[in-house]
Amino acid sequence: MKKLLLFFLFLLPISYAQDFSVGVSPLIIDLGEIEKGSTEAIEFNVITSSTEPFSIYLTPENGLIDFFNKAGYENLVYNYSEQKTDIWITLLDNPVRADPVDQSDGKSKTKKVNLLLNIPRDAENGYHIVNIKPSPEIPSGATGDVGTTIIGVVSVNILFNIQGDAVRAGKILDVVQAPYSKGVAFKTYFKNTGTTTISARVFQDIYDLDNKLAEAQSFRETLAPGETKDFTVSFQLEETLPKKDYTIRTTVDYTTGDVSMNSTMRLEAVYYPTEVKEISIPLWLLALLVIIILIVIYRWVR
Amino acid sequence: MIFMKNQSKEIIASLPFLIVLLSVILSFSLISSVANAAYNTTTINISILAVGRIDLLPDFLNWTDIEPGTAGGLQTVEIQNIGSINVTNIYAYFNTLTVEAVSPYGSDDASSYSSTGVIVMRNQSENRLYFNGRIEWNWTNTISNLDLSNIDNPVAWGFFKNTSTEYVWAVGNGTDANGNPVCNETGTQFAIEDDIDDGTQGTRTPATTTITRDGGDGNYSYFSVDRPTAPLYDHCVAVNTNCTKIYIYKYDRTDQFSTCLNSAYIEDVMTPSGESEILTLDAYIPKGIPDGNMSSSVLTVYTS
Repeated sequence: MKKLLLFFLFLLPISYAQDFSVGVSPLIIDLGEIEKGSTEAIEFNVITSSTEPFSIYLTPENGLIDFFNKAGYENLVYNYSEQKTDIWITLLDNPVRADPVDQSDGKSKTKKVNLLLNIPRDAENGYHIVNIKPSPEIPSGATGDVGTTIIGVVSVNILFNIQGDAVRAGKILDVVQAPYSKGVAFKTYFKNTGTTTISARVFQDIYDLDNKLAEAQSFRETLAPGETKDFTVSFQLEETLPKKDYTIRTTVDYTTGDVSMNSTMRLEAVYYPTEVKEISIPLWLLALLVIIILIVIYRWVR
Repeated sequence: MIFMKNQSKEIIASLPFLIVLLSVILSFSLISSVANAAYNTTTINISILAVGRIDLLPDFLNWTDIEPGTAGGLQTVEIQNIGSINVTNIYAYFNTLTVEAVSPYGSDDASSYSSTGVIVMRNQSENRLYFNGRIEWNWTNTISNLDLSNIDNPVAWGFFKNTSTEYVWAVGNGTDANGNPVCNETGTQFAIEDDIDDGTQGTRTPATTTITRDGGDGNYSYFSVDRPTAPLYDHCVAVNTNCTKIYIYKYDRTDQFSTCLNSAYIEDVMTPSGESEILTLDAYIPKGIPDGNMSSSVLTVYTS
């Protein structure tokens, strides 16, 4: 009986120790220059070490500008287009079935993945990235009774360049005050004057002469070439602004550059306290105050 | 005849010279072959395949028999680059949203809760632990002494539970293009109270100060909490479109979750030459959770 119990206790950690991590080779598929309207056949390998077979689902994702943090790719960011690219991928193998490793040699298993990259005729010039993200499907029962299974997954980056001028640029058209009941808000009209899709964010400061009173920012928006968007920035102020002229400093950041504009506006903002605390006076203190007041009145009358 | 005799004599006379000449040639060829044997080189080419791969040790974590309102104790996970090239932009995602698809409040079954909802973590460069996949659901009952004056159109409220302490939060809805109230549109607000809840109005007045809506999509509004006194300072909060739950995270950069400006990578670059990153994790078990095993779940560490 003891031997049987030991046997099961030995099995328990093994069932937890399944490795469903997924590696890839290569990590970056650099296709160089490709033409609009063309289709590229691409292949890469997924690498696994599980002793159990499992499925790997592949998801195309738009590339992130953070890709250009990689050494050797930093300068390409100035010609990067943030156009949606995930819809240009046709996966030919999805999901991919990962074979179990042979326990006698423990050697990792590789599985080839095939896909097509279809470049539309209206693709923008410049560098583009698509990520292919593997998501392992962990068999039920392999995660144990309680706790967390931990896996590591590596995505493939597909990099390509569509030849032609690729310019990232923008211009602030106007900054105007916007209605806001709990402070002040401004709308910034920003136009993408370049030839590639960019994402931008507005940062705004309110100055009274050289004294910065408040700062706030908008959320990030994506703009196609030639598109204009209005970005709203709201300020919940800590105190009421006296009615007078203020300088609004607006900066629009689009990662590879920024543009700024100073505007002078007459503002009057209503201050709303953000939190009202209860003031509780102890009863004994109230009683003491009443007694003191009564004594003072009594002596004054006498 | 005389001519033949003279010829033989000449040949015999030149024999010693021929022998010396042959010896010299033979010696040079021998020396040359020995020299060749000493300096011949063999070119060995080994090329390494470009592999992107990380390993996590251990690959399973558990905490058992933790008393509600306490922490389970610190555990570490080591991320190793076992590939052959640098990997970049490492982030982590808990599958709490999948495992805890419906509100567990009111259930007496611990498996209604995802285990990853109570796990906090940090990378090597941080000192504090962050939730990275905690869901707090809308409190469907009225909360006494609740003051929602800081929110324009309050629609949901509840408690953020951090082991033994609780804080009140609230959500104000925005409006979509058709004028319908939703929580993934401009105008959506998230507010949280700084003080530990003690039941009084003073500790039940959530504030929106320095909580910024960084954007939204079809599913969520993404907020960054930048008020140092707030219990979720430096975290991200995603409010779902129907305002029924908030998702609290830090190192999750999947899909649009990176919209929140406070979302961070665990590490930007990791080389393959033995470099590793240590994640420190703990389990913060809130009060009021049923006993038993919480649903097991998965922590996926992504890189590219």
